[in-house]
Amino acid sequence: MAYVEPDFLKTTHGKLGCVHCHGGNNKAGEKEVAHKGKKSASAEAGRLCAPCHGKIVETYKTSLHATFRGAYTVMSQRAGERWPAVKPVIDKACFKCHASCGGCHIFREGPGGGGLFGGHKFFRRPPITQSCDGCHGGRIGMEYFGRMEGNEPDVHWERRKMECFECHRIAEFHGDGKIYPTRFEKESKPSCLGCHPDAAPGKSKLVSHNVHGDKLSCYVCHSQSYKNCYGCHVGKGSNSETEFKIGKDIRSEGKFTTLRHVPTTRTMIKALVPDAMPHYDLLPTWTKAFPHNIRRVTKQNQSCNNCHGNKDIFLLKGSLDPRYPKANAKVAIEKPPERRSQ
Amino acid sequence: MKGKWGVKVIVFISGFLLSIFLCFNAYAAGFANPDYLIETKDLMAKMGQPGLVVVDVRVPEAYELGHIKGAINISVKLTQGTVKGVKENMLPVADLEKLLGSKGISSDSYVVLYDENVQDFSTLFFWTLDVLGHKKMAVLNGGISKWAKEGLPVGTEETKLPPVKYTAQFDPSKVATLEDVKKSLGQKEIVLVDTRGPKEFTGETPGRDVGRDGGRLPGAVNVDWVNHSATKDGFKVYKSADELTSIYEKAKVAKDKEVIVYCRTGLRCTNNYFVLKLLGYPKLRSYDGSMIEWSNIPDLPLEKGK
Repeated sequence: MAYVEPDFLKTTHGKLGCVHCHGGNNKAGEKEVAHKGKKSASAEAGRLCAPCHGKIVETYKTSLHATFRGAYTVMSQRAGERWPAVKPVIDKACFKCHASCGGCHIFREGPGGGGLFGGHKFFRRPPITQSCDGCHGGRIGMEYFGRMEGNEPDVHWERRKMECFECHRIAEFHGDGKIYPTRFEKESKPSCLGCHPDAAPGKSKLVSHNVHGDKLSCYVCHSQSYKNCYGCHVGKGSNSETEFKIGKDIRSEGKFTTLRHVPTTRTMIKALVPDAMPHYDLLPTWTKAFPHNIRRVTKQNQSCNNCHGNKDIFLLKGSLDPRYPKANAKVAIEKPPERRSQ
Repeated sequence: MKGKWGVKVIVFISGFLLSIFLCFNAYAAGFANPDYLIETKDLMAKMGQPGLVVVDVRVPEAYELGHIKGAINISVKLTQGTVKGVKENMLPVADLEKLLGSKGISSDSYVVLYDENVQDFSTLFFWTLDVLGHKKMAVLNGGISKWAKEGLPVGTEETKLPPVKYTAQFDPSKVATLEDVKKSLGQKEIVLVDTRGPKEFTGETPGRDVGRDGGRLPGAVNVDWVNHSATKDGFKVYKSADELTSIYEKAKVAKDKEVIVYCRTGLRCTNNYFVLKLLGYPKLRSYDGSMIEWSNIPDLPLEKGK
């Protein structure tokens, strides 16, 4: 495939010509001259895209993809008074993936492997296996497409080939003009009951939905084992485990949910900022998880006692790792619910 | 009459206690070489004993985050390098002697190795020591993760030991070279054990640096190393001797055969080497070059599919 497909030049964006977005000199005969004044289109996406897509560019500035505010919110709480020194490190390390319009509609961001999706064509609907999977493929994509050894693909992909946009609506990507501190506060977010209203507690034909529905998230019964990460993002001490942990959702009055371990450590970025996280113990590293590996039948929902009385799938206060924050005790439980006589 | 009942009660209680004792010992007694695996509480009881050296084999970043109090750090990566063009292979013996001695380990030390839980890093170190002829060594069951979660002492300060001299007794019978593997093909007395995941075994997902679209050594059987461990009471630990024996019986890996284990780089297969050592397999070798060596040599046979 040519770098730029001839067909692209016939499209609305292609007709603008290379120089319009990339600068340089298209009349020059030599590369050095032609590339003089070349600029990064991604860095100027606002100016380049706004004339035609002004409303989107405006709201996009507020989206979590653009602001990366979720990480700011959490890291600034951990860093406290050290935040002014920590922020530049987070910006440098993390904004590689969180920047431009083109990163979803034209090419795969560098850390995800780089490269154009298809001859520089602009994809109104990004090709998920290249775009979303490029940045979210280490965990979400692995789970959703069934690449994890021993797991089945998510049923929504396997049966219906549902793309990310079926559950995550456009406002999640382009923003809605409001700046949210984390993804949990967003107004537009996926809901299982949106498509499965019959599974709501009190409305279901299934006793288990009616009994558990208001105490558990759907994930507790319908997720397969998923990846948890330990050790830090930046250093070489990181590792991952395929596990399944149920604990408390502190955002939902202690409802039980699946928890995922995030790899933030006390000593993370220590080489760049000494004592970067004086308030490390305030926030848990076991956080609410949304595994993208949903199945109707899972090992949890095969028998009551696969969860009741099973110490292995609950995050227990008695077996918390002291290397991680004390706040993990807020989401752990004392003991599993009693075994049921069956 | 009263005396007879007394005797019966004593016999009953003795029998009951004996059966409990046997039950509890069955786990450890099931292994032919149980001393190679040490439980956290047993290591805690030995801490501070002369000659004991606890080695955290993870990278320094992980050690720094928290390690067994008193453990030294020797990342297993320091024992590896590119040897004869094949990367991630065991360094020459002289280099290893120098490394171990500089960290305060002598050939008489009782070395307890651990990683995050039951990974392959501690077993790679175990195999390396075995090749060097080291006698007194063990792997910590459950690693730092179990140790820390049980509330046993964890520190962040680095421990260093004074340098000593390490003298190896190199044992080539623990190593399978490329030539050894070539000669083993088709030999009924030798079992080749591929310890990678099923999709790597069939060639469906070859893995990084594996040439010719992957595959396996002809005639190899598949025993995925991840099947050695399970979560028990919230801790990831090695399965019992019976469970591990059953895995190898199902794969038809008989004890009277010579066994060569291999994987992609020679790391994961050391976990199988360790387990087979625990189970008492007498003739064991690890093919350090593994698939990144074999598959990249044109004309060497490869098998694919189920």
